[in-house]
Amino acid sequence: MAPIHLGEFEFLVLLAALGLGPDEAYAVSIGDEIESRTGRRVRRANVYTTLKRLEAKGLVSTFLGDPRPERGGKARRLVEVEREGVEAVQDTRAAMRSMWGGLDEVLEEGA
Amino acid sequence: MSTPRWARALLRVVAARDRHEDLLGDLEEMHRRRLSRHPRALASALTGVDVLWTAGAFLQERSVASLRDLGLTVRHATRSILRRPGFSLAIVAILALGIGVSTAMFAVIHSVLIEPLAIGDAERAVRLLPDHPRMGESDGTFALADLADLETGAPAIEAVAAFDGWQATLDRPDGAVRVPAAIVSPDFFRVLGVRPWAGRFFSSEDPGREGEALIVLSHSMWTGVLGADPTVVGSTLRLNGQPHTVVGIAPPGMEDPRLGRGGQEAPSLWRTPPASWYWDRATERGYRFVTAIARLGEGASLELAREQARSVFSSLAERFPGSNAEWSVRLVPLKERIVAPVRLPLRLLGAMVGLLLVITCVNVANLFLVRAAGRRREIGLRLSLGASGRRVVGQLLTESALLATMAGVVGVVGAALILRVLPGLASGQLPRMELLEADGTTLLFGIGLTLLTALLFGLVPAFRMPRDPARALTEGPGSRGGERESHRIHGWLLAIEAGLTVVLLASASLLGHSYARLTAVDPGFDPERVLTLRLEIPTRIYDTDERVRDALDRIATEVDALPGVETVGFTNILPFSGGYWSAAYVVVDAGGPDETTPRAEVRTVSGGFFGALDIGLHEGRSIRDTDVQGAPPVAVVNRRLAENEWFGGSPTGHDLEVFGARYRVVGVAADVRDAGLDRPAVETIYLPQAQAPTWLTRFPYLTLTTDGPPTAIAPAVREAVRRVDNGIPVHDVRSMRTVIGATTAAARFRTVLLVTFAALAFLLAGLGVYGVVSYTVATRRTELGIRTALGATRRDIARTLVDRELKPLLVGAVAGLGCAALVARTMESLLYGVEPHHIPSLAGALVALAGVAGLAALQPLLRGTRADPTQVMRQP
Repeated sequence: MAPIHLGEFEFLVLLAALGLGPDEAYAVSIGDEIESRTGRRVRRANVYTTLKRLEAKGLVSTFLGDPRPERGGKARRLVEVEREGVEAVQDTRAAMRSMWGGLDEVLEEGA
Repeated sequence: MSTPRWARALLRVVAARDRHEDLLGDLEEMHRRRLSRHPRALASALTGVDVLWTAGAFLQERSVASLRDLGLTVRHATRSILRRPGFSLAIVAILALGIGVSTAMFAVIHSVLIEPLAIGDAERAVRLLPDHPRMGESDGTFALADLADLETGAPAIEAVAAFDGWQATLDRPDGAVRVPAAIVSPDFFRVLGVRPWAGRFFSSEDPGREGEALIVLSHSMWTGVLGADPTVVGSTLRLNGQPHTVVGIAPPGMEDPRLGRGGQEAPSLWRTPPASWYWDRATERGYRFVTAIARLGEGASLELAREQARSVFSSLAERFPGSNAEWSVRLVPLKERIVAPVRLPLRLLGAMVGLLLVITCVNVANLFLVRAAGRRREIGLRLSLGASGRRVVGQLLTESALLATMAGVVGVVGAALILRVLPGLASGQLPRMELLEADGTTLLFGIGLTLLTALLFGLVPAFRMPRDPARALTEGPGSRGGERESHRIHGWLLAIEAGLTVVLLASASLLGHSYARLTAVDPGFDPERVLTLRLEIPTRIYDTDERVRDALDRIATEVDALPGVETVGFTNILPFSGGYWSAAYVVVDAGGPDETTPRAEVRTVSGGFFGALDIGLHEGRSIRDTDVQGAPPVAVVNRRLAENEWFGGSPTGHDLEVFGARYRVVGVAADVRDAGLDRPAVETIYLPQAQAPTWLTRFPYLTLTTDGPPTAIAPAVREAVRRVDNGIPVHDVRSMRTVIGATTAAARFRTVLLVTFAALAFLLAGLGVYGVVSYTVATRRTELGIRTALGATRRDIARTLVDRELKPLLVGAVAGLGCAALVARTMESLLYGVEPHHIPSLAGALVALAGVAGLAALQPLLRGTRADPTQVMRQP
């Protein structure tokens, strides 16, 4: 199968979901995770649409968890990264690494 | 404290149901988090913004998805349409026919019956019609003096205008051009409420009587004959040899022919009255020669005006019993007058087109049903694979909408084409045709019709979706799945189609019969091989009676000498030309004084006239060329007058007084149906042209019998007239057949239209029967095969099929016959010589439908009876 290339935000969402694991990854926690690690503002609406797109591509699957009192008795839609999702992350990382080669000096000088 | 209610409601609306749980949970969690950090108002505001963003994202996603869905559906539908090109073409053709014809008919009805008149305050403009116990429903004329009294005596009437036809000849360097024109009183344009397009109209201050004549040009005359010359206002045109000053141009669309007397051409110009209007004619109450219109006063009701007008006329009848006894007046709204004669035919045609449209829809629905039956497996498969019922219905509707759109485009374009040629075909048959165009309203109607038909025939197969998709999947192509219900729908559709077709066929047959009877009426003379044309002997050159008579004699001699010409005759008014000239007459030796003065049509004829038209003689002799000035004055009367005045006795030898002169009756001629084939002959007196006053004979019709096709000789006749005098205009060159044909043109027009509609319905009915019987035979092959195997004969099979398939048709047809009888009653006034319950027409419609149904069913029926049991049983 041809490697799936991820957009930057898709990449971040997948990484966050992988980091949180299938028991804790859902739209709110994924948003929080990206915000706390990168320091950038994340709009939850974007997380929803990105997750939907990733699900349509077969990279993640979602399922409803148990109801929780702090959510007014509503369940969370938990996100599990599929094997294809992991492969996509690896492909993207490999692509980035290969692009990175030889650029360390240039980037440090520029900095 | 939970999230704002509106925010939850919004999310519920924009998101799919399976996302409500987690989205509302996320919202709640975030809101609680915000409440713990911020004041409540700020937290609510932040949550609100959050929800708006989320809703926006979901909405955007949904619209992209639904667009993609629509694209998919359309692509799928297109593929499905292209897969069966023959079927799709048939559907588009049938629907385009229905939409095109209906849209064109709508445009006609809209512009003729609904659009307001192109005149100001149209509801205040009325036509005045004389009312006399002996006069039927017809156009009529007034005496100027009576109109003057009406204007002053009826306060509810603001102004009265009079007008009269005028034959003008425009002198141009390249020859004389005849121009249809009208003489109008100064108030004419004010009564119509129109504004000049350029220049001005007439006013009562314009010099009358001895003054110069002024004219107003019609817009089409200005753009056509005069090439839109911008300097025309103020210039002088020579008409009939006299200078006429152009004071203005009328607005376009004011050239309505029916403003004049029925059947006359639209005037190309209007002139101020000639001096004669102001002399004896102004006071002579017995001389009724002008047509009249009036404008009601501001706020005056029609009822009040009618009452006042009638009281003016009854007082006139008391004051002048000789001329005005029994005369009264009727006021009819102008639009009513213009439109009334065509309202019934147009409504009838409109209704028939409506029927045709329903028939096309029913037909298409039937074809769609037949096809839907063949698609049950496909639909069953799609339903089994998870397509929702709504989606499948949407798919079917998209297909029908696509087909209907194609048909709509073809239909509307076709309608525009029909509307372009129709004014030519209907010229003179329908008023206001110059306003006819395919405008926005027409387009909207066409679009609406297209949508309606798409919905009508698209939904029918949707009802026929398999309820159990799994079962539909196991059905073979020839199985009986859902056959009973679909059979019922087919039956209904077929019954409706048959009924409506019978209505159309019966109505068309009635009109056709009526038209045949009308054209078979004996006009009272022989119109074969007769050429007619009209001459105009100009006053300025032929200014004495002798000169006029001399010119006519020389023309007769020239034309008579042409090879191929057999007999030449003149008359002042040609039968069937729409002209009339009646005068009072007195039978000189008729005992006591008569209470009322009888009137008769007066014709001045030359010696050859009776021979040229082959009008028979009942007794005595006809007019001869030797009946000239100086010879004893003679007259010939028609049979009707002879019977009315002499009650079967002989009028020969008695004297008549006409125009103050005495004529001896020398013969009785056969009756001629002068005013139309559908009207009886009226009392007529024939006077010798050479003995009648020349103001009657200055515009004669020349009639001549030829030994070949009459119009072939027309150029030679024109040339012969030109040899006598190049300045004598020749016009209305027509064969006598054409002249008579023009009087039946309206009847022919509606008959041809209705017969066309009926023929289309007839074809569609055949197609419908063929489709349904084919379908049944195809779906019941197994059953038929089994029955054949069990010993059923072909006759048994055929009987079963006919019984089941054609029974609804018969029921529908009989019901249609009842409707046809009702429709026939409404069209009674359009019929001539045929009763509305004309049995041959009604029965003929039934037989014709049965015939086409039988023919259409024959081939599939034969296929059904030939079902080979061994082959059929082997099929799944």
